[in-house]
Amino acid sequence: MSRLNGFPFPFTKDQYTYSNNSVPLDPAKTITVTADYKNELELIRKLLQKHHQRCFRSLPLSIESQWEIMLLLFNELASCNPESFTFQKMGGECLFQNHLLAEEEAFVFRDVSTIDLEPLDLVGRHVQEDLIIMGDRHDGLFLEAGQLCFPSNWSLAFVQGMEFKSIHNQVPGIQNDGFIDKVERFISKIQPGAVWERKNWSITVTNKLDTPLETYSVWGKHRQEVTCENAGDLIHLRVEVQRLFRLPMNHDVLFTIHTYLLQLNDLIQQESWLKSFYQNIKTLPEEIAEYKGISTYRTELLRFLENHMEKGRRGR
Amino acid sequence: MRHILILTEVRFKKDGLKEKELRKESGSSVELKLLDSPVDRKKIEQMLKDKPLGTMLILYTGGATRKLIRHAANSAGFSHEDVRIGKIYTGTYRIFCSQCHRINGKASLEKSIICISCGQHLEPSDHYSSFHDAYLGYPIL
Ligand code: HEM
Ligand SMILES: [Zn+2]
Repeated sequence: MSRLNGFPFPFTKDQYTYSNNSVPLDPAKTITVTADYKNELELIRKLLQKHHQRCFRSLPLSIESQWEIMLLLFNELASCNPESFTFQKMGGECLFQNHLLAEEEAFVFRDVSTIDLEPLDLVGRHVQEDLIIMGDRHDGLFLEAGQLCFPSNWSLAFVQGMEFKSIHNQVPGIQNDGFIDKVERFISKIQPGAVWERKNWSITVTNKLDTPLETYSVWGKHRQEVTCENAGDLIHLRVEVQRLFRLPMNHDVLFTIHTYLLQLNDLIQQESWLKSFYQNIKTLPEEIAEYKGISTYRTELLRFLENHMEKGRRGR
Repeated sequence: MRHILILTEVRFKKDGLKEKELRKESGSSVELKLLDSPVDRKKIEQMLKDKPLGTMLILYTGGATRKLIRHAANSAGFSHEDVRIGKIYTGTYRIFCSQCHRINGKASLEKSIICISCGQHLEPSDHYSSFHDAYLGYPIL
């Protein structure tokens, strides 16, 4: 049951549609440290080392916000998890200690000669979240830097430098009733210091966290393999806890994405989740199912869930 | 002479501008507007309602957007004949390979291509980046 504890189950209704499901967060934290910290950081670092061009991108004008984010996250790690991290700053001199990984980072704030990586790239190697900087310019929000190891079928290299609305161009129905315009206005009004959180979900076949568009030919083919018999092992509910934070100094927006996976065999242990998941998959509009890559195996998945709900009824 | 309004997606801006020059030369009062991506039907409808009666609309867009604007135009009181489709230069486009990031020049948006760098079979999409000036090519398995 332990895998269910703390899993951010995303469904609040019986039918899913896109909405601005952001809520303010109190206390205003941009990141979370979980029991998977060590494993995920090992994977993150391996990916960054092997595929740096794919996992890290930055435009030169993002550098000040990168520094601000590095300070913010080191501070947050230390103040929320003092037994695992410490951070000291005296004048510009900074020392961050990661006791979980037995490492430290010493640097002078805003002095690039004291670090080997760009600030976002460096701090991103100490948190489980993917990190995106949206530059707030007069004509919109632009993706100006990102460290992204666990995307859900999109390419950081392609979207770097793009504007918020264009980034969402492929999402079905996103322009209906001015939805994406409203979301952009909402983000542009977020006040410094506040954190807003929303959940997005999808399904991954296998337990792979790194599913970038770049390797779709490797992981995408597993979608053909799902059957009513193996769905419990193969299917994973993938939830992204996304947080938005306006940087007080530079006024850009930090967007953090923490990705959680839950195997279907574990999910169905919780009866209310099983029912809710079933209802949502069953009623998911076809264009969203297509976009999320669920269409190929939706029938098999539903049959698996129905069998388990039937078992539950007979068991009682 | 009728007032002419040219609506163009960023990717067809060159074609839209050419049309504007030609129309101006022949003495029309003509304006050109770049469309947001994605297009918001309500906004378009509102904008069209504010145009003088008898305005002619010329569209430089892909099929889906064209349909959406036609609907908006009808709601705003335009007749079918008031909405024309611009001549899009069906020459070549740049396709961004989603597997290796190579930008393939000289592609068409209608046909799939093989990436010259990694050999992946790609399906060009309408996902356009003005940063790369290229369309995203999705892998075909
Ligand atoms: C500001 C930071 C944000 C960035 C950088 C971002 C980026 C993205 C990207 C890259 C995708 C995938 C698009 C593709 O398939 O090519 C996406 C999907 C999506 N985004 Fe955002 N997004 C942000 C914020 C938001 C917010 C605040 C909302 C809504 C309130 C939102 C709603 C969505 C939805 C509904 C999808 C489709 C997800 C799915 O069905 O799996 N995004 N976003
Ligand atoms: Zn390629």
